[in-house]
Amino acid sequence: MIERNEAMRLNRVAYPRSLFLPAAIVGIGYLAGYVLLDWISFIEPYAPANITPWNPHTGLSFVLVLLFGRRMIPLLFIGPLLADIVLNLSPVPWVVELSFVVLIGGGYSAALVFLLRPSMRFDPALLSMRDLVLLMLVAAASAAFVASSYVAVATFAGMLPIKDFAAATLRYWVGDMIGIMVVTPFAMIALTRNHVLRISLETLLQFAAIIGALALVLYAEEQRFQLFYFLFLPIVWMAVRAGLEGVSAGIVITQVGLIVGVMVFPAGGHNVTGLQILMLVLSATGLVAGELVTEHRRTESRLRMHQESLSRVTRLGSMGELAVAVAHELNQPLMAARTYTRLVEDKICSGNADPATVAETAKKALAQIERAAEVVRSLRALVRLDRSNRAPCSVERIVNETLALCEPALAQIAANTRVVLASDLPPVMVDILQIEQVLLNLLHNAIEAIGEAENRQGSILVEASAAGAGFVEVRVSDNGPGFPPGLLESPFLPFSSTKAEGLGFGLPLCKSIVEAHGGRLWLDRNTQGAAVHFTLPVVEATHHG
Amino acid sequence: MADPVHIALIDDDPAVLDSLRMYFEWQALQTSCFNAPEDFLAAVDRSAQFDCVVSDVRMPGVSGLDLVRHLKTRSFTRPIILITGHGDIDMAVSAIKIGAFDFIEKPFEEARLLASIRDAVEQKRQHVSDAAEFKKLQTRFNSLSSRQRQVMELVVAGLSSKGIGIQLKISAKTVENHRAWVMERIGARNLAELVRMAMQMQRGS
Repeated sequence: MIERNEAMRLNRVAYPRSLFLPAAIVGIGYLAGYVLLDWISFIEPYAPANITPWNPHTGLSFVLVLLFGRRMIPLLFIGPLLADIVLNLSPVPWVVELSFVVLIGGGYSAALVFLLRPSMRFDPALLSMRDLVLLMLVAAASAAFVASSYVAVATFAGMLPIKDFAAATLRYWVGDMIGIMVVTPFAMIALTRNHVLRISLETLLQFAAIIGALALVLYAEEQRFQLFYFLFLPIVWMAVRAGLEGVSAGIVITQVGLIVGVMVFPAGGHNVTGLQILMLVLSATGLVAGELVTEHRRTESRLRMHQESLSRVTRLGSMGELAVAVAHELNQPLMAARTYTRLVEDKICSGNADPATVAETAKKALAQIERAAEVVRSLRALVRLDRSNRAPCSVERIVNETLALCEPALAQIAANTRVVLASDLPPVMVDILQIEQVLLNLLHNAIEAIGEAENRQGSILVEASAAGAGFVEVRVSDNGPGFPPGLLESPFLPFSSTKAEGLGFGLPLCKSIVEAHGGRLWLDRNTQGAAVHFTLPVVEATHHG
Repeated sequence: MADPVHIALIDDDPAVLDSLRMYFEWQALQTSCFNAPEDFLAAVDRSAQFDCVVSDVRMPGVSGLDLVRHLKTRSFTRPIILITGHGDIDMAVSAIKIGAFDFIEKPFEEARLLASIRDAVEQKRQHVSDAAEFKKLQTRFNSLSSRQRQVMELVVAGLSSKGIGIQLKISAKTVENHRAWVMERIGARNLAELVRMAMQMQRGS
């Protein structure tokens, strides 16, 4: 739970279920993938020190730790050791072998632990340019450390002449760096987005363009470096049209094609490392351009989503305003009905009442009571507590969409927002608009509470877990000043709000909505700050009940 | 009553207007109804005479508070009672400060409005002009504890019990308690009276 919590930190993307696989399966998958990639990429080794021009397995190590957490770090040592034992490509003395394993595992572990520090605010879904640049910088620095120390040990062990130190280090660095740049963004996007790349006529044309450019580069044996720039065209095309998602796939295809091509059509005079340096430039350019496009699109779609939801938010989001309007609407007919009724009473008590006029006045009173009832009916229609709009829906979606709506308010109070969702949450049977309104209300309460307690770091926690027989429990807690004692005694009476401007329609309305769904809503008396829990029926339970 | 009292009743809600008119007339008060402040002002311009004005606060166009301000600039001397469906303390205090006679929240006890109208018409409004009255008020004020005085000042400043509680770092319930004591000791029957008395104290001191 703790580890997942880390991965979900500040994240607004609904991760696919594949990320919640048991650790053992992930670990075995990683080790198998590591050995396989090491074997496949074992070309043109810089014998006898085993330095190859591209190391996709290093990229796999980054994916493992960034997505599955720090507990995977021991595997970063086991991977290289296992690969060397299994493949036995060029045996070295065991002391040297152990040094290599410690340097590779230790160097990249330190880098990844650094990158995952909460203060770095690195999002593994690579949703912003900041995340991408951070990944590239950490990769470059750690690869430089691993490369230079690996080559130093190899030189010390007499496997390499001292004069080759710089060239071997560069070759190693480029190999690891390109492995990270090609594999890591592609895999992280594939695993954190629900879609990778939609195959369309355009993507097919883009793939064809990559293959065409590769053919040109490989064909022009002597001018491979000059013609390499043709590969930029399809990559930039993919970046501009399909963003980071598309270009990361394009980079993988280009790299695999380039390696295969160089092996099939070797050309004298040009080393693979030279081409790989160009490939590194190509990858960096493509990724940055793709990220720019993705970031721009994300902003656009968020803006659109915001506008769409604005009417929804204004409809129920500002409970205070709604309450004032409702109070006014109810007060007028109540006042009139009351005065008419008092008049009826006074006239009858006075003993000289004309039955016809008294009946007339009583009728007027009734009409006003009917008017008040109409207000209540229209209020109910506003909340639409009917079952017709219920559909299976994931709790993740509800939480993420609502958090996205609150983002501006959250940013304003600079609260530390965490989402902890259990891995086995079944879909719930709800009217998503209503439940999002409930959550929105609770989050706004939390935000306002934190806003009141100005002098400390606010934190908001949204949790969801299975709650026994056919229910999911959602919990919103904050470290604000908490509920005042009076509220805990009668939290669901309208107008018992603690807010200066609100009239306290929020909690009663939330409770009505949740109970209309068959769930419960209650306040927590035991926590520091405030916590509100509510339960939602899972899909199966709704069918039986 | 030999001379029937003439009330001007202003409310944009026809039902409220009609029910109050019927009630006032049953109480032998002569009533003229206006569903907009503008209509009332036009009637005043035609030199219609009223003994008391009862007006809603929330109306489209000119609000009840605006109406009070406007009438004061025209040196309209008749007492004005404001009634509102969504009153808060802040608004009540400013209404009294700009010169409304009373401020009553809807829905209200009809007797409360009638009593207020009677006080207004008879000009029982306590002008504490003579030294004896002022001294009496000062004695009452001096009998308050320092905490009660603090609470009273904040109430008169327009703060809610909750707001006062936050400012003085005591619970809202305690504030209500102090407030009840203040009303009791000062001899104010409602918030409007308390505000008026406090203003007179300020003017006197």
